[in-house]
Formats: sequence, C-alpha cells, structure tokens
Amino acid sequence: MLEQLIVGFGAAFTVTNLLFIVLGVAVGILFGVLPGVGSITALSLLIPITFYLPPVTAIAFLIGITKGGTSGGAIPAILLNAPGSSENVSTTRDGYPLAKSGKPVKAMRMALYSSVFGDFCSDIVLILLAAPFAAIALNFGPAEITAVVLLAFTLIAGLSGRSLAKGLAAAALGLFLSTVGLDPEDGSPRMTFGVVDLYDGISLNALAIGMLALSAVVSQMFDGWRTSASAAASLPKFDSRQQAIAWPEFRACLRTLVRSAYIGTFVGMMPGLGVTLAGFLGYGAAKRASKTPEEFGKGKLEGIAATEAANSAVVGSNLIPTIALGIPGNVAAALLIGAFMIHGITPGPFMMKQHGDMIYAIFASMLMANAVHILVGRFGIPIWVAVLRVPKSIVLPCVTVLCIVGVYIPSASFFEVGLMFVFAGLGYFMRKTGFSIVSLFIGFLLGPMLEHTLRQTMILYDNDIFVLFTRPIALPFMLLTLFFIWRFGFHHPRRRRMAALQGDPKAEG
Amino acid sequence: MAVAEGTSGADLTRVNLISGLSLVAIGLLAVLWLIPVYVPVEEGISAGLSPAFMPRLAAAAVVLLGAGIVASAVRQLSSRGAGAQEESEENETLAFGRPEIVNLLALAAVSTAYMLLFVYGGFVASCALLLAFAIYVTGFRRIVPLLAIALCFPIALEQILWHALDIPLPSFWRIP
Repeated sequence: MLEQLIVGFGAAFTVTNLLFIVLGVAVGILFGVLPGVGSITALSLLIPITFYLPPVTAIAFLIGITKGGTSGGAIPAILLNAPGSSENVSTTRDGYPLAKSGKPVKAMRMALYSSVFGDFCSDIVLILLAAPFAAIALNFGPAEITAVVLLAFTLIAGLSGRSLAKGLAAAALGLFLSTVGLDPEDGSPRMTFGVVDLYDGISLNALAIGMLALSAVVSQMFDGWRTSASAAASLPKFDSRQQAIAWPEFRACLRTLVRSAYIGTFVGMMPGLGVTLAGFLGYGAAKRASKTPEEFGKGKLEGIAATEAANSAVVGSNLIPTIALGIPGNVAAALLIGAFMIHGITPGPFMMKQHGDMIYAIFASMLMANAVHILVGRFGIPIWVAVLRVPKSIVLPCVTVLCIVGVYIPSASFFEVGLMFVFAGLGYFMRKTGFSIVSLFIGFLLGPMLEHTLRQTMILYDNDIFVLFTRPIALPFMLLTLFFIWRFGFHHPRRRRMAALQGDPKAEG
Repeated sequence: MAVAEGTSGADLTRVNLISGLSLVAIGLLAVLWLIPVYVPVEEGISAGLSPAFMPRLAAAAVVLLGAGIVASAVRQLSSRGAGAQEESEENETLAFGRPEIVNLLALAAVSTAYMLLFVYGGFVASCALLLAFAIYVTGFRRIVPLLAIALCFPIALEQILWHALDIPLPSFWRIP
C-alpha cells in the first residue's frame, strides 16, 4: 500500500496538478464564503470544466473544491453569524461570539486548522480502508449489489427528511428519470420522443446543476425579490495582535480534534448520514466531554474545533463506499461519481483493480490538497473577508449565468440548458414541499447500476427476486433495509403522532 | 390561501395530499400511457426481460409511494390532530402557497424568455439582460455598477472561455 502511495505521489506531484489543487481549494473556499452558494454549487458547476483535464487532475481539482468548501462555509458563520451551509451551523455558536470579542481571525484560523486536521485523519482512514473494502466488495455479485443499492436508497431517503415515503418517492422518481434514453441491453429508445439529445439519457449535468445549484440560487433570489435586501455585510473590527493561536491553546483542543475526526470519519462512511449531522455530533460530543461545558457558546475555541474537524472528516471517508461499492456517502460524493463516470471510470469494486494507480494518485492528491488548504486558507483570509462584502443580489445572478455556462459547455446544446431550467423549477418545488432533492439525485445516479444488477440477478436466478433474501451476503443488507423502512417509516411517525397528540414538543423533534 | 406555511418543522399535510395525488397521477400516466407508447414493451435480448421492466418498476414504485403519502395525509386530516412535522434537508422554509406558485410561474416565464434570447440573441446579450433584470429585482438599485456588472461579467466569461479553453459560446451572428 505504501509503495503504491509513493508511486501515486510520483504521478500526482506535477505542476499542473498542484496548480489545479490550489485553484480547487481556492474556488471551494470562495464558494463557501459567497453568500447563498456553497461547495455543492461549485462542484456541480465546475464538473463540466474538468472534461478538458486528465482524470487525476480533474478529480484532484474537484476534491480540492469539497475540501475548501467546508472550511469556507465557516467564515460567514464566524464573521456574520450566518453559516455558509448547514454543516457550519454549530460553528456560529462559538465562532461568532469569538469574532464579536475582537478575535475573528483567530476564530477563522482555528476553523481552518481543525478542518484540515479532520480532513487529514479522514484521508488516512480512506487510504487504509479503501483497498480492503474493495477487496471484500469483489465477492459481491449482482444480487448483493442490488441489496446494497436498496439499502443506500432507504438510508438516504430516511435520513434526508422526516418522511420516508417522500424520500423514497423522490428516489423512485430519480430512478424513473434514469431510464430515459437508449436501453443499455438492446439499445431500443425509451421515452426519448424522437429527441436526439435524449438518446444518451437525461443529462447528468443539466439535472445536477438545475436541481442542486440553480434551484438553491433561484430560491434565494425569490427571497431577495420579496425582501429587496441588498445591504453589504458589516464585519467586526479587530486588533491584529490578538489573533495568533498559541501552541497551548491548540494543544488543549487536540483531544476534541481527534474525537471529532473520528466521529466525522464514521459518519462519512455511512451513506446518507451527511456532513451536517457530523458537525452537530462533533459539537455535542465535545460539550459533553468538556469539564467546562458552560463555556461553550461563549466563544470557546474547542467549540469551533469540534464542529469543523467533524464536518471536514466526512470528505475523505465518504469516498470509502464510493470507491468500494460505487455508492455515494453524500451528495458531494455522488457528484464525484458523476465526474469519475465522465472520465470513463466506473466507481465500484473493480475500480481499485482496474485503475489502482490512478486511485493512489488521487489519494496522494488528497494529501497534497490538505497542505495546500492550510496555505491557501491561511494567506487568503483578507481576500475571503473582502468577498464576504459582495451583496447577495450581485452574487446570485452571476451564479445563474455560471449555471448556464456550466450546462452549455460540455454539450453545446440549447436543449440541455432548457432542461436545466425545468429541473430548477422541479428542485424549487421539492425544496418548498419537503421532498428530498438528494434522494432524487442519488436515485437518478444509481438507477443504471440498479437496473443492470437487478436484470443480471433476474437472469441468473430465473426471475426469482426472493434470491435477495436467500444469498448469505445479500440477506443482511435486505434485513437492514427492512429494519430501516420500519424504523423511519413506521416507528418514528407513530411516536411523533403520539407526541403531537400529547403536546410534547421534545418528542416531536 | 397558503396551503401550508412555516419554517422547518412545518405541517405540510395538505401539500402532501396534493403532491401525493400528483405522484399517483404521474405514475399512472407513465404506466398506462408513456411506457406502452414510448418504450418497446416486448421481451428484449436479455433473457426475456423487456426494456420496459425498469421504467415500469420505477413508475409502480412512484404510484405506491404516492398512495402512501396520500393515505398518511388523509389519516392526519381525518384525525384532526396535529400533523406530522416536517423539516427541510437544507434548512429552508417549508411553505407552498400562492407566493411559491407565483415564483414558479415567474421562473417559467423568465427562463422561457431567456431561452428565446439565448438561441436568437446569443450568450452575451441574453446574459447581460438576465443579469441586469435579476440584480435589479433582487434589490440592488445602483444603476451604473449594475449595468457595468451586467455587461462586463458575460463578456469576460465569453472571452475567457474562448481564449483559454477554446470553447465558443453562441453569438447572435453565429447562430441563426
């Protein structure tokens, strides 16, 4: 493994690669800082640009964006009490009070260092576990993969909101949309309506950018339209001599950092649990373990460290199920699967076997990105603070234009741009009515895999679908699927209804 | 006439009823018309499985889950108790009433107008107009910087893509 990693470093340590990692991290932080956008928007917008890059550089660039995006979101959380994305919500609790007390740069530095620490630990776990997991996954046949995909759908649908039925309905809709285009087995057109642009299926780009990026931007633009608020942010003033983090201060946070990195890494390995949960769990665990929990929420460095290390630790470990099984841990990993596929690499058990050199080059790039992250994040602080002053009413329309360019570039198709607007409308509707966009997207992304493996299973076992319950490896996954359907679909709603009838707000939550 | 409104944790029972019914309708439309007409339903080359197998399965799942959402909403409405509270996956306000319907119609109108401009007027002209319009309606009213951004951003983007990546964006003199 070490030898392969050294070879990976040899392949990844090029000027072009380094430049794109720097660019990726900077863009990630920038989009994390910009009001109303985030690293998911950046990722979906910039995947088309990577068509023109070699695979390792492309993936390294995109991973740089996800790494930068997580720490970038902490900056508005600290300076404005307005988290860049939901995963940074807990950062506001101690980041903003610390900024108000005249130490905003100190808070931002702690967020950055913690983010890189969590990220680094997670990357190490990824490097150690990806190959063994993939080796185990090589024993999986079509029935087992089908069972794993069904479990992933259930977990993602159940955890994305409070209604399992709505999450699963969104996933089924995504699955249905994935069947548009030529049939993968016999090439006959399915629901293409004679439109040539649909022969290759619904464009992943148009769907991803429309639903994940443009619908979020549109939703905020409508809020701006109704409130007409465009004031630039006012930032706290500070004394530059009080901003350094002394070694004893950092050392005092080390235990918290390790705990949060462990929590984030575990959460990242589980499909559907998400970055936001990791941030909350990390913060909660740090507060419970602290001898002075009453100081949390009043500008304690440990509070920032706990959240940022936990949410960043998700980035590396969510690639474990992605690489081993082809199942994304969260939406960022789902977008990375799309990027892998664009470059002719199919994530899954065979990925390590077929593209092992490239995977280790990507691992090496991830480690390099951590070092770059520290430098870019540390020296870019004045730039990120300046960017924060740009009003939302300028940023959001400009991002809309970037969405259009992002869809048009790879396809040169007006049809796909139109399709993106349709998906933006659907995404807006789903955002407002509590249907999970992530479930739909992952249903769409994993749809072809599910179709392929399900068809193979039917062929291999004479159309006997119950084989999913008789194969020894598939059975535990199916039992877990049924357990989670019961847990999310029947157990929780009944408890919530009982609580609602009894007027118990705690149980409702 | 807001069907439902509130922050995260909103009661969306009526919205669920309508969206569940819509899902059932969409699923049935797919099973009864879309798939039989637009997908070859005869058995394919893959050991007797038709190309319609997966679309049918997905559409059937949409119908079943839609029916489940309707049943749950009806049960909540008939019990007259508090509905199950829901929350957004991205901490957005959950609400679907008249303002949201107006927003969707506005999006449809603006995107249709934009697509026409994009096809016949090219990238720079269409994006400049879109930017100026969007920046103005979202609350930025200083005309000179507004116009400068609306013009310079698409021009700069077009030039960067053309000179750095050799990617042409549609121009009104190139596209008929």
